[in-house]
Amino acid sequence: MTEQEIIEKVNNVFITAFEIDAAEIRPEAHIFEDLGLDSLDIVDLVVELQKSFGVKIRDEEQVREIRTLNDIYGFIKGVKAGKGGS
Amino acid sequence: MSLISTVYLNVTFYSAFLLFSAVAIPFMTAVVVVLSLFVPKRTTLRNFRAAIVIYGKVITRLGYPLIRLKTEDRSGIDMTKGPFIFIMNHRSSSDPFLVSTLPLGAEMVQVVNTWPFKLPVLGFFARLADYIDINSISFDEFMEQGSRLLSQGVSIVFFPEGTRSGGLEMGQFRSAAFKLFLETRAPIIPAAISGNEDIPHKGSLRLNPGRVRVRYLPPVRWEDHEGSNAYKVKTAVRNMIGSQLVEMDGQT
Repeated sequence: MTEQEIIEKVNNVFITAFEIDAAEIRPEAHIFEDLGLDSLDIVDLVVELQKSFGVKIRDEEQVREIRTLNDIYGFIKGVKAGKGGS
Repeated sequence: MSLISTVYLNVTFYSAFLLFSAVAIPFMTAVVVVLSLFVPKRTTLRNFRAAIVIYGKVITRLGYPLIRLKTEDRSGIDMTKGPFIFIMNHRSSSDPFLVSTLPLGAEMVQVVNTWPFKLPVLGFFARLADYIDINSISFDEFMEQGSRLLSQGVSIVFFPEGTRSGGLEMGQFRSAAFKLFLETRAPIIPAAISGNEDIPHKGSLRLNPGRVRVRYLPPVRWEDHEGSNAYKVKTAVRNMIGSQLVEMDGQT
């Protein structure tokens, strides 16, 4: 999976599962301050990412450090490469 | 003139507030305690919560006529036939008192931060009435406590911004209330509070003359959000309240 495909798939999770306007989806968008998610929404986000990418996300420590969409792209890239998930 | 009005308002309001509290709190407590000797514990708790609402109803009228309060019930339902999850925007420390605009038969508790529990007397009564201190419990404990209250027919009032905005803008909503909604299926009644952003302004105790309006909106039902997530529900409810506030702020 290419980096661009990961970005598009993550963005699609925000657009479909969270109904966030595509115009708000920017790599530097802060998921708490700009998009309005909170720590409880992260649980739902992880579930949706797992469904979308067919992976199991286990590294909670790394998930807690996520702040921006860019962080998520990087995180998923790592998970796909076998770090922080399976 | 406006300075004189403000001084007059604050002197009369706070004098009446202290006087009424000094008389009403012991009196209402005594009534509830005496009644508790003859009725079940559950009824005592209901009476106690009703006493808090009565207290709030009086307090919110003490500023009249310099502070005028109007309740607009557009829910289209009987709000005493709960339980409901009330979702309100949060601009001022007067908001918890404005919850008393609910009809008397609507038994409810509020979800608050830790600080109201530290208030003398009022904090003690909030604890007795089973108000929920969201900051001192885990999410699982919150869900357990919230579900239990709703199953007893007790409505729960949330200010999901978590902190006062202090102005006309509305902060992001936190998801706990909406997780509870999806779990328990208790309908949400959104409410928009407008006009109290300076009564008092954030960080101040000074009351300013004005018109405050509390508008209750039609319920949001679980059936319309089945399979949804808390984020989507909170966004929908926030948008409902936000659109009302735009209209209400234009009129106040």
